[in-house]
Amino acid sequence: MMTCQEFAVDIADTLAGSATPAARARAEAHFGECSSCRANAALWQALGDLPADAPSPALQVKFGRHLSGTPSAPR
Amino acid sequence: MLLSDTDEQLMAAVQGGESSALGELFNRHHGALYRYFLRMSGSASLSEDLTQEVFLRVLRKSETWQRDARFASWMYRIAHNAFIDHTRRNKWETAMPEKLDIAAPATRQLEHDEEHALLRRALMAMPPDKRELLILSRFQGLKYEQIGELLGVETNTVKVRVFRALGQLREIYERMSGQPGLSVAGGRN
Repeated sequence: MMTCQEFAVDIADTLAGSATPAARARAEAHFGECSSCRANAALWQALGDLPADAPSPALQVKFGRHLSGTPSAPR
Repeated sequence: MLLSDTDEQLMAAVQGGESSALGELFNRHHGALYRYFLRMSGSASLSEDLTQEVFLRVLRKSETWQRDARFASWMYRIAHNAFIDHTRRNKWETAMPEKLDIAAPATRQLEHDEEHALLRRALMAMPPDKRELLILSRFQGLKYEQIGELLGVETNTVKVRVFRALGQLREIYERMSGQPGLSVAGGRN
């Protein structure tokens, strides 16, 4: 019986959406048999659902000042 | 310089002394870079400082960019090095994240917000090198090949490391949540 480790490349490619059809089929067959790898795949999905934080608008202004050589305003 | 220019065309313009091209590269990438640093460090203020530092380094090191290289890969190499420089005092391999200063969601009582917060904490509890693999592959949109170029390892090595890092993250998440299995929504790409 193959170990999870032996599916590592197929699983990584499948999660990233870059797997060949054959690799994806192997990974999905393994997910069907392995609750641990299935949970890892769910975690990958959950990571993608994390909200994206944004920098403050001041960062763009500050960098623009650097770029133009204008000294930053005193605090 | 045109807004439709590729990153590489803009970078070539930066090499030619056109600073407005750097401004456009900043516009395109500063949000993603900020999130890279935020997920690496947990500090919003540090992430803004390091984001700015990367673009200043892009300008200073512009002559070292090779025109056949992808700008994003080169930029993330600079970001990777900038973060290592910052954490060197604490040793890169063992450095623990700084105190989280990510703004808490207003509706923290909601279950999914708690799960997100737990997932963030689990991610921050990972060793920085493994955390970075997940950040680059899951959040920053880099292909495994690009990550391999950045880290100087084979593409398949990146894939195996991502697979292992994901397993480690799940162990940490389950330990923190005090229950086996994920409470996060299932499904996969």
